[in-house]
Amino acid sequence: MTIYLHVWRQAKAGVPGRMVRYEVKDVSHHMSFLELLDVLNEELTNKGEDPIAFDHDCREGICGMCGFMVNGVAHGPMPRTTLCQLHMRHFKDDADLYLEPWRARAFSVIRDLVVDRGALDRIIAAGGFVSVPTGSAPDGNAIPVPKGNAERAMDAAACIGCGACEAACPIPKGHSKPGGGRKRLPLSQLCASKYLTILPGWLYDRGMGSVKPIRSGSSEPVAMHAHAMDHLRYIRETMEGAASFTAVPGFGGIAMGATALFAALVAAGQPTLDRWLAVWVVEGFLALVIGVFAMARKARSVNVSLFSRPGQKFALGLSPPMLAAALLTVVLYRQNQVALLPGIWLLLYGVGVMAAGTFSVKVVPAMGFCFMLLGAAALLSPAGWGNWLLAAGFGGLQTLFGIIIARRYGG
Amino acid sequence: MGGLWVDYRLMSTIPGLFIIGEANFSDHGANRLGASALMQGLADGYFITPYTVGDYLGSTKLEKVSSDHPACHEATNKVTGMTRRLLAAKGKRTVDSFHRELGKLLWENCGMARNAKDIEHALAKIPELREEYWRDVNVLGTNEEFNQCLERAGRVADFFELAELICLDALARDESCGCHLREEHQTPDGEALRDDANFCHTAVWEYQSGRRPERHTEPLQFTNVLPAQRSYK
Repeated sequence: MTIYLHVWRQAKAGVPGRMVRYEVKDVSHHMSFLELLDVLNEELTNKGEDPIAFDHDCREGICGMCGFMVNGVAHGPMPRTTLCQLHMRHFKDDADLYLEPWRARAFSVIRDLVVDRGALDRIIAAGGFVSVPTGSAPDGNAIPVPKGNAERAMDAAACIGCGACEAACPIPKGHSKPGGGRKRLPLSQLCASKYLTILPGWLYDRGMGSVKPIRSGSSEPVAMHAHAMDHLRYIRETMEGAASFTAVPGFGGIAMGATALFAALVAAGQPTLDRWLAVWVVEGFLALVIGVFAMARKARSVNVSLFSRPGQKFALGLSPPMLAAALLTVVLYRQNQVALLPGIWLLLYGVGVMAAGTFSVKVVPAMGFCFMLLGAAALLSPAGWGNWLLAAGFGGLQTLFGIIIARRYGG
Repeated sequence: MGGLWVDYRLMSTIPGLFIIGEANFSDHGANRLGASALMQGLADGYFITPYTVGDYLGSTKLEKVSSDHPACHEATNKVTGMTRRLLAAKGKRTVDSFHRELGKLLWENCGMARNAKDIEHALAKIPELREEYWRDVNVLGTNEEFNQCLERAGRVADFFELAELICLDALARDESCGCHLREEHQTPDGEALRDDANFCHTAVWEYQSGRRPERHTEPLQFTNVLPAQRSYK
């Protein structure tokens, strides 16, 4: 068969490149794509022309060294196949193929189809750390790893670090596509760094007690070009954003619910409205403390920073309605409108949970919605029902959803 | 096939030089095939070196080394000289064509089954081909750029030396042992014929600049399990 190759030729970084057309005759169906280039390079060398530079190593599909775009697709048209394992039998005779280096700004061209993938290496390195003194390896069976984490880590460990995901990512960045939609990255992509954050740090911390990392996971070893840095931060944030914020505590919710039920009973027995209000205000602070403590604890156990971007979004969604509720409590108390408070509390808590829950697992916004319904019911019903609607909401709903979250999402 | 000595941490006799995967002897001895070689690489890389290399780096005070050491100068000069020579040859044949010819020579004369006559033929041919290589190789480009052609040329230059050593070793081992068969040494029904009287030793070759490498042996002693002819029957 005959293949027409249009290859990106660029002598070095920073000089203009161009597509050059080559005709390769007598191509065997059994050749791999890299062998096709070997044949072409041999011809070019014999003619005294510079051979095409391209990366390759094992040629068995496992090392992650080779890779470029074939007709705009990273590693060519076969799914889950690197270029070295892509054979010419998958192409038609007289095919026109366009070969370009990885399309990604973080990977600058070194020559022709060879790019500098140091940025990806640094992401991978930033995910892992080494602890000293290490002592002997911990007993793997003594460290419980949640099945989900183990599965994700295994999936991610299959990453060969070739960089194709970065070149293939549909999020408009290095190569802006008009109208390119914003899509979430599958976790299996750019996953090497993910796997390093899922397992080893977790294992080391649990297995070795009070060891200190030589270099913390977040420190960047090498100063990078500002642009690449920006780009990597974007990838990292996208990855984090794609993973739902799971630090919402289930058992924390159950504990908050239990204290609220108790508060409702205590509040019902108070002789004056002032003392009734005082009980609920104390319960509010108590629930806040329980909530923050439970979130921090859960975030630590699943190895997510409470102050990561999803964590920040959660706090940003929840706090404005909470502050509004606090202000309204003061205002309505001074206006002797305490009877309105149960409805307002339930409604605003629902609003906050719904807004914050947009970035969390789906059950959280559902819980917010239920609180809003209950709040509306409280505002429209007789004042005497207020205390028991509070019990139903902060006690009942909170406990119910706490159980659901604890059972489905753990902890 | 591996066999380099390592300690429990997979470190060689040179402090800080770790040998992992197929190159060491740790779990399988000097000889392993197929999946056990792969498994050794995975086990060393995933479970052992993350602890032992980290331990070494964390517990060792590493002194600053300068590139002013005479050995460093010597190595740099040698590589620079070789690079200049390769680029100056400006011959007619590509690096790949030499690589292929050398590979074919080895495959046909020093393969799984080999005999003294063929090996001697290869040993006569390799120096000729090497001489032709340095005279007639065509390396494009310059030393001052990213040059894969030059990279490959240096590697193939090393392969001549390695190919010659493989043949020398094959010739010296005048018995059938391991996974190679010396055609002169086989039983009437084609099984490998060992010669433990003369070859019960391990051997290493010492590089001699410009001369034939020198062979050193160390006797092997078996007391409990004795070497025996392999049988698949």
